[in-house]
Amino acid sequence: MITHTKAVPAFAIALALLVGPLVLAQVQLIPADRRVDLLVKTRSIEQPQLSQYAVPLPAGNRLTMLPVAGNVYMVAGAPGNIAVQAGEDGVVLVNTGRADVSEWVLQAVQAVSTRQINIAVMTNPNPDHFGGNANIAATGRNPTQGQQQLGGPVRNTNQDFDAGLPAGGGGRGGLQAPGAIIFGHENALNFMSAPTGQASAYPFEFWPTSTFFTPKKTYYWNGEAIEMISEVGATTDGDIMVFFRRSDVIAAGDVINALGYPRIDVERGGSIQAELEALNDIVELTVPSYNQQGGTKVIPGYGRIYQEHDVVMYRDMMTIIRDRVQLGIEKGMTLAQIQAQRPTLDYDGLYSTPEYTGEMLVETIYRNLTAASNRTAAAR
Amino acid sequence: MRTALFLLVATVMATPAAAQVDIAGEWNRDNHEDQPHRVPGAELGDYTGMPINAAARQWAESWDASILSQPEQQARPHPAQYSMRGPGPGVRIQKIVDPVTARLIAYTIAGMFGRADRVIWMDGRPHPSEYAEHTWGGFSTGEWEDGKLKVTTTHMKMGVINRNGVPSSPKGTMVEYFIRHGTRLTLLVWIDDPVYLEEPFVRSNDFIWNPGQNVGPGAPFETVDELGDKPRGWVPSWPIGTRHTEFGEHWNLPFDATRGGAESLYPEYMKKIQEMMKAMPSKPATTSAAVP
Repeated sequence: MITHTKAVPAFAIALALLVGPLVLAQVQLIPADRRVDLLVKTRSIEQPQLSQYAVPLPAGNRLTMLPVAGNVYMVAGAPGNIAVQAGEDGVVLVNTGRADVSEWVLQAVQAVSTRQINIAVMTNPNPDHFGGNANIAATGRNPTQGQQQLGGPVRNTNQDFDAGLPAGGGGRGGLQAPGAIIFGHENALNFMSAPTGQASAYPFEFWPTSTFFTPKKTYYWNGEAIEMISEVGATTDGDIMVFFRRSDVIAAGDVINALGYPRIDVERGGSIQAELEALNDIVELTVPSYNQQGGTKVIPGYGRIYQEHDVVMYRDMMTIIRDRVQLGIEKGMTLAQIQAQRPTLDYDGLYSTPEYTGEMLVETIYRNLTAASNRTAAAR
Repeated sequence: MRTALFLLVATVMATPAAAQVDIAGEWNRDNHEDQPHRVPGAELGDYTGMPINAAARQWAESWDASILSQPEQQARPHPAQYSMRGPGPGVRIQKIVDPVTARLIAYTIAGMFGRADRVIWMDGRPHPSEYAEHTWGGFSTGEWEDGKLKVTTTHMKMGVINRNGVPSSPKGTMVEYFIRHGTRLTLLVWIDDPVYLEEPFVRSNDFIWNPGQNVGPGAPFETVDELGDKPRGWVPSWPIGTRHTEFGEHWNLPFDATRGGAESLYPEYMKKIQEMMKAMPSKPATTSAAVP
């Protein structure tokens, strides 16, 4: 019989054994330079931003991984950005980077999680963003596919399907590829695939395995709501952005390119007006924590982490350039005459690149606006 | 010999090894220095003495002050490139010392417009990755240099270097020297901006020790609806080709002399201004009442 007096010390020892290592682990999680940062945090409104503390990656890995907010990290240099949400349920990626850096991307994920990758979201059909789909999804597990009730290794569910094993509930009976589920817009799949008998633009293993065409698709994973918001027509007809609601992070995809002007692909359904709508959507979703700083964080398709003010500057720039081109069109100016005015001069130092110059952006907007006005005239 | 030894010891003991001159304290701005720029702000179209390039000029000419009515712009402070300049500020500089090792970890600066507080890290840490966030205060590190505190700042937000639309880019680097002479503090600012400047922009701001000063607690600004029926995403701007001529007209300066640029920083430019003035049409004398 265990008496009360004996139970208390036994309980205390057990508690210490259980909690002690956790407490020690928490202390060890704060590196020395961050411990002194606490002294500064108590004295100043200006708080050290999480992204100042890069996640150490193995030697030779040339990517950069930064904490963003909550459960979300950003892997940069792949060459685009990848958002990584890590938690108890597993790992969600927004974009997978280019195929040749998949090994580094997996190293980065393993630096913050020991769990499997369950979900990859394609923000748009840009090979810089989906090139790692095949390599990375193959290492993961689709959370919508049922697992064995009993212990033992996880089996390839497609083999189960082929073997005629019962499909179970949920999405298990679907023709899903093994590995992580890949969400994307239906138009992205249409672009990457082809009707039966025709050659597709990209092999099957790169395609999104679950698509949607509605304004929004939601999923709950790692203790937070994840919104996939359609921004169709921004840079292509397959754009979406992803909002991690509890972490308060938006992965904006190519709607924002912090290293350049947005590459609006009119041939594939992009338009300046939808690009501006998408930017305004992001501005409406973001809330700064204090005087236009902090709060909601935004991961662009490329480049540094943005906050609301950075998005506002980007939105203002695109609006002002659009207005300048529009004014030229209304005055009856030709494209060459408008380009000669240099409507992007004040932004070129920030965003013009040899691959996509301000002049090219002006041409895109001009052709988009004149085509739109021609369509409107024809409709009338 | 003894005297020499005494002097040597006294000298070594009197001066810290790194020749540090603590800048902590309450410092009030010396507003009679450049008052029109530091208090009301530079006039529209006044780019005199600024080595800005054509891109900056186009930005500034296009800038419409109504843009500050956007809800997402109403609460914006000034970036570090400008925040020590005005309006005000009366600043509190605090020294953060590790209580165990007595090592100087950082200086914090509070009191700028919109509480764009700053932290100057003194512990030798590197600047963050190019992918890290930018803030109003930027990321600053300090080191002692001949009794002056040299501060290098990166990761600043897009903002202004004058409150009349002259831009400062997030690609800029700022080097400041905090130079203390007793109860006076001189801040020499050196901004290198590859996007908007033809050559580095240098200016100084002076502060006076003011121990009775009270820097208030931080308060977040509240944004309100100032747009009325303006559509979503409304972004006002002046069209390309706009010329803000009022400043030159007001002060009887040739328009070209108000445009700034690297050449306008040097003494030789005075001759050019004189030639431009000769070419100006004579202006009838105005009474002070006629001056707005």
